[in-house]
Amino acid sequence: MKKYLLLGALLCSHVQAAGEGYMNFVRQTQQGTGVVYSVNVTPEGSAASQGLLENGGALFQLWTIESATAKDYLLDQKLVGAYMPAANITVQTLDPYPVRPRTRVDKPFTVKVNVSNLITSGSNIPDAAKRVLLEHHLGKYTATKGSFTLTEATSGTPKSSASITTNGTTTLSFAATNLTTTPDPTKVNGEEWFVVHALADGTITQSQIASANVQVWAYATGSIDGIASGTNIRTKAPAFTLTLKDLYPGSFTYLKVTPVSGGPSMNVLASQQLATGSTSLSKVLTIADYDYVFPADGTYTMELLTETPFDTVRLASTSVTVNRVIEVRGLLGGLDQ
Amino acid sequence: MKTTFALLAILSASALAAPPVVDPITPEKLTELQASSDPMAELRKQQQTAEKEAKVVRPGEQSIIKQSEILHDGAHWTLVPKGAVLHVPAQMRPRVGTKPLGDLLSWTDFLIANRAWISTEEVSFDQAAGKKPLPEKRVEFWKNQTSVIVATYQGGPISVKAIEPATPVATTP
Repeated sequence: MKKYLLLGALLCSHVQAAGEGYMNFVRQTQQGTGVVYSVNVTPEGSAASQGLLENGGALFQLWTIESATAKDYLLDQKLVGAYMPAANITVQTLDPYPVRPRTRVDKPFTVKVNVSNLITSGSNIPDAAKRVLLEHHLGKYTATKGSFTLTEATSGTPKSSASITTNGTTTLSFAATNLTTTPDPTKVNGEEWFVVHALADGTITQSQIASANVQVWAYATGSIDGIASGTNIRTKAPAFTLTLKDLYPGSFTYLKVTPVSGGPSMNVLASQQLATGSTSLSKVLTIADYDYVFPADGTYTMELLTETPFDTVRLASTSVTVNRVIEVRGLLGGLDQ
Repeated sequence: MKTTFALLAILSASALAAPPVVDPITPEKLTELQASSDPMAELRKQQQTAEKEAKVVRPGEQSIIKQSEILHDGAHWTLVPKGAVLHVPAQMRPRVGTKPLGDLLSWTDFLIANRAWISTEEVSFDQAAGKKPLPEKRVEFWKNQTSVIVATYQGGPISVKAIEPATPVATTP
């Protein structure tokens, strides 16, 4: 059985991962014979593999090499074959970020696994044709490790695994992340990987036929330090600090000041932080010269808020009373001669 | 100045005032949420198959550079699968198997720039797999060439397995 294989659908979703300064390569390794065939690929688009797809299947690997450093990265790989199950995995989160699936520790996400080419009836069917194995791998970020390659993420023992024996889409709905840490499980960053393996029959060197991952970010925390609740402001408002930790990527954080008696709220401009990077943000801000948020005497609440794609969270709050009425006590009298 | 600040602050506050404000999740609540569902366990139940030991092979440490032969012209380099270089004349040995230095070029661009010392030999998949031998005449021809010969299939470099020499048959005198 020999077929040409369309590479486009297989790999185009990952090709954009490497851009200027990188050169992409697709390697096709025949599982039966070990023949290695090299195809150059453009940063985007699709192409039909000129290589033959023989019995036993072929492993397609998408590599990129950074020209300046000659460092190579395995971006994706798939094992395909004429009689081999095929799979595709997508991860959906509540964050519309277009680059990659990402979420926050407490938010639900869905994993859809689409499997085809499984043989579901008949006798004497080899196990490898009747089922695939779905694995769930977890990887926590550390101070020195802020990302995982495909190999790093999926080479260890999985957290859990389950067989899929039916063609079609299997949907897994997770209520929150499966990553955890102590003492505070809300403070974990990392990745959850899902991998579908064909069952190895001894002739193939690798059995992964699909993979996908979701990036998980910790819950933000923050505090207002240096201005106690109930502080009375009689002259210039005192300086204080905002401690911001693990602000969600793309979030907007600010200190909102609202008069208790009613009226419009105002943001302290120096407190506004847009987490523009692709990772979370931690920062300590010193706030001074913010008297403009107190246009009149009265009691004000100060709320440290962070807006994310999921919700707006009150990280901390305090209240102050402004009383700037100056009482002048004087004595009016005449001077008797 | 103060008025400008106040206006800016009001504007930024009103423009962003939208979703309801919630209090942070507690560690206990998150732990509860995490324990509330286990879709992988549910999947195992649904499939109702005897979970026999499933043999899989996970990717180990790999490097395309280590799995390749480097070709170098002094300023540029490219890489082809190991086994794709069929013939290297003595004077060309410094250009094959070196460390990657300079600018990386695609195979096609590198070949165009170095036609003077690289020739390609189209092979079939059976020849690449070692099922059929390469034509003896061609192998003899390369020996007299000053070019590096690279095996290609439809223009792309391909590894070629050497055919195992046949085991001599024992004969009785």
